[in-house]
Amino acid sequence: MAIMSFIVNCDLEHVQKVFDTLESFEELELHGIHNGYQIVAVGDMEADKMEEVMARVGAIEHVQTCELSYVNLEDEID
Amino acid sequence: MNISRRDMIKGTAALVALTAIGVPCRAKANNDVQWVKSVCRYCGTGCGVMIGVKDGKAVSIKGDPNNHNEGMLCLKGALLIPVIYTKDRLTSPMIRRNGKDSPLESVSWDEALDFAAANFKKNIAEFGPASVAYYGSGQALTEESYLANKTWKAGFGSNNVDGNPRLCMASAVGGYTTTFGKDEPMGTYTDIDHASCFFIIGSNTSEAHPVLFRRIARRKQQSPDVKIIVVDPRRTNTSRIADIHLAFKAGTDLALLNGMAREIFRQELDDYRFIENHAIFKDNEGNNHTLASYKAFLDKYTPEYVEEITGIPAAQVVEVSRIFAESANTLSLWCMGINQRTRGVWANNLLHNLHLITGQIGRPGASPLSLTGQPNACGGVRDTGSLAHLLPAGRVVENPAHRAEMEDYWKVPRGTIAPKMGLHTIALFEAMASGAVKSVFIHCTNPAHTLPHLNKHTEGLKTAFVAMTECFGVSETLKYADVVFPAAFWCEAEGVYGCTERRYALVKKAIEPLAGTRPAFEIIRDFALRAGVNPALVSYNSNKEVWDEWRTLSKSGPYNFYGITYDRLEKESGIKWPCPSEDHPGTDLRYVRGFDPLVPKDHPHRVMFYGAPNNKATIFLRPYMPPFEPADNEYPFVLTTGRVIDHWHTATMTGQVPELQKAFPSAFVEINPEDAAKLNIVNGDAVVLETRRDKMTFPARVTDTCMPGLVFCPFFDKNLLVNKLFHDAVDAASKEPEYKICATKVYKQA
Repeated sequence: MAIMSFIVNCDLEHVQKVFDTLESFEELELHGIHNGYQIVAVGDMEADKMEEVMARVGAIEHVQTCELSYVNLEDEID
Repeated sequence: MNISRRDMIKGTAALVALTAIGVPCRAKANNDVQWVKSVCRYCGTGCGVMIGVKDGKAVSIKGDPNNHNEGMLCLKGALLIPVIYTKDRLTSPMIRRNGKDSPLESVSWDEALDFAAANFKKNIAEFGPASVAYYGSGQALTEESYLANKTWKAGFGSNNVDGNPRLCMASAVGGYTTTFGKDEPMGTYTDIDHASCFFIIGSNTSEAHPVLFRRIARRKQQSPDVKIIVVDPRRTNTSRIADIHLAFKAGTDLALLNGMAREIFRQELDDYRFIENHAIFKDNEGNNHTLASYKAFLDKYTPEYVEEITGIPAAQVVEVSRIFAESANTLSLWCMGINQRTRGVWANNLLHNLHLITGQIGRPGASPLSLTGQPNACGGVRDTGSLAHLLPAGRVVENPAHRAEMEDYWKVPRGTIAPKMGLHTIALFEAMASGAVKSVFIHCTNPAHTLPHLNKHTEGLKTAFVAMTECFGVSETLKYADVVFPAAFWCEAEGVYGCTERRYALVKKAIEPLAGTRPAFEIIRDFALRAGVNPALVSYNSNKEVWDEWRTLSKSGPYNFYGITYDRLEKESGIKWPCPSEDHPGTDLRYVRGFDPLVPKDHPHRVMFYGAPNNKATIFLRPYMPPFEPADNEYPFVLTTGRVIDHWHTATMTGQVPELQKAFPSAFVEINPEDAAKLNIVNGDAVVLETRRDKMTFPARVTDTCMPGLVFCPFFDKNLLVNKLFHDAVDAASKEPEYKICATKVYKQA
């Protein structure tokens, strides 16, 4: 398992729309909209799904970049 | 409360992301912890912090809710505590007994101090006072810089006192002093909350000053009509919140600034009455001009001509000029992109011009405000005059009256201070290499990492006798040190920091110095005494005594902060000068009647630039000049450097924090996808940057952050010293090097 956090940088005027879309990602726990254009998300998932989730987030319309800020790849987090 | 390990890790993950973008980090209340009010160790924002102390150890940190940062800290600040206790702390004085090739060996404090002092004494006796120098820092405490400045200039009789602010803020100083007569800005961070237009140029605020960036973003969030214009050749996180991002050819911004001035007049958006009352005009030779001749000078900077030089579409030049002038309050913010240039002072002047011709100055939210890179470059070095050409509080070495004032105040015979200015940084390291300067005392800085054209300037460190204070064993400069004094770090000592906005705040001693270290103030004092300086000059018992002497000295001039006492600083979260008396609250709007106590209440105008002759600022006629080394056919790319959010300066501190080091373990080169495709470069490729000085290999980051033709490298990495690639050309007036632009070849490593 892996726990990761990332910062989603969005187009300023569409940040709420992106936030709403991200809420449907069951692997993600959202930690708010910041600075008007950034969303902080924490993911809890199988390690091999990380890249796929990042790619899906990065492909959302109006997402500029999706920056990984923390990752814990320990096998036994619990 | 029952929290699983999984939840704790998730909390940490969220915390890292949130602090990375400047969201407040809140420490959990703990009754056993005593909170000590202090100031962050890193950038020039000067965030207030509360240091949690338990059983004599610093255990926690949080933002000071009563300071300007309102409890916010960036990730670096939130992770300061581990830096104190890193295994890389130096804890014993060291010397090289037999020259540079011999090893550093641990010795007693007495032996190290005597070793350094004997060398300085011998060289002064044999070669004169100008053979010894001090190279200081915008990170040293104010009292340390004041003491060193006094020791060298009045004690040794050497004006060879300079420091790393020469490498970052000297052009801003030159801009303020030439335009307004005195250094330091008129604006403060409070202006951010009132600005309706932000003109951000040469500053990646989001990474270099994250807490201020968050305040700007909050202003935009709360008032969506606020306009943000970012002028930067790179598409950074700062430009992401901009309404208009002007990505221009690096080094051409003087043309833009003149073009904007021309457009402001053409659109009749100038403030004629303000210009008439508060400004005069001069050219580069010091000749007087009129408004009419200034307009004639600007005439060639049409939007189309500006587009030709800068690459910024003419229509955007017209538009940003209108927004700048028409907005209710325009705040300009800038940093090293403007300062670290061979025309840095000119660029600063031209920015001030825009504020003066539009009257966008002296109101809440309307001001030019330079952002400072280090926590105490303003208060510690600029104000105390700890540079080669300066004396305290805006005085200059080459003015006989100023020298006489300082000699009287310091109670030394007239003629003690040498009449000629000392050597600025680049000249100093050249003089060390040539043997003209024999001994240097380096305090709280790492020139073997930060100087431009490093291969050339490390020769000075190899040749001269180097005594240095240092906290961490990872500094590049240690390789060249003959004597090392392990210094107490940050909250292990006490003194004052002065940040970007004229705010003085107390770095309170929260814990005892690590065993084996001593506060730098004591090191400098004891070194001076052993080197033969008159004890009456330097025999202070505490930093507070130095501060009281310094604030009393400020009383008679335009840098008046006599009312800022240690007692007040312990209670208040920083005070902005001018502050002439102990009951004065400090000043937000400098030069403005009713706010600034140095402007007479009956002054006929709202604004009074009292530092300048006749109280009038100068609008300068400065033509566009290209950078020292533009790209050409042989070296077709422009290389620029800067910071990344998780590291600060040379990473001697941030490199100690695993969370920060993991985020940016090493330097890289950013290259535009178009250029990368042409050069067959993909992410991670080893890419060679070859300049006229050296060549180095970096891993590639292919990204549209850089515009085509531009490559960027961060400078924090000691294993990839990008400054080896740079030339050492300096601004003619400020002597600040041009770190932002040099020509380079770029190719994939064979």
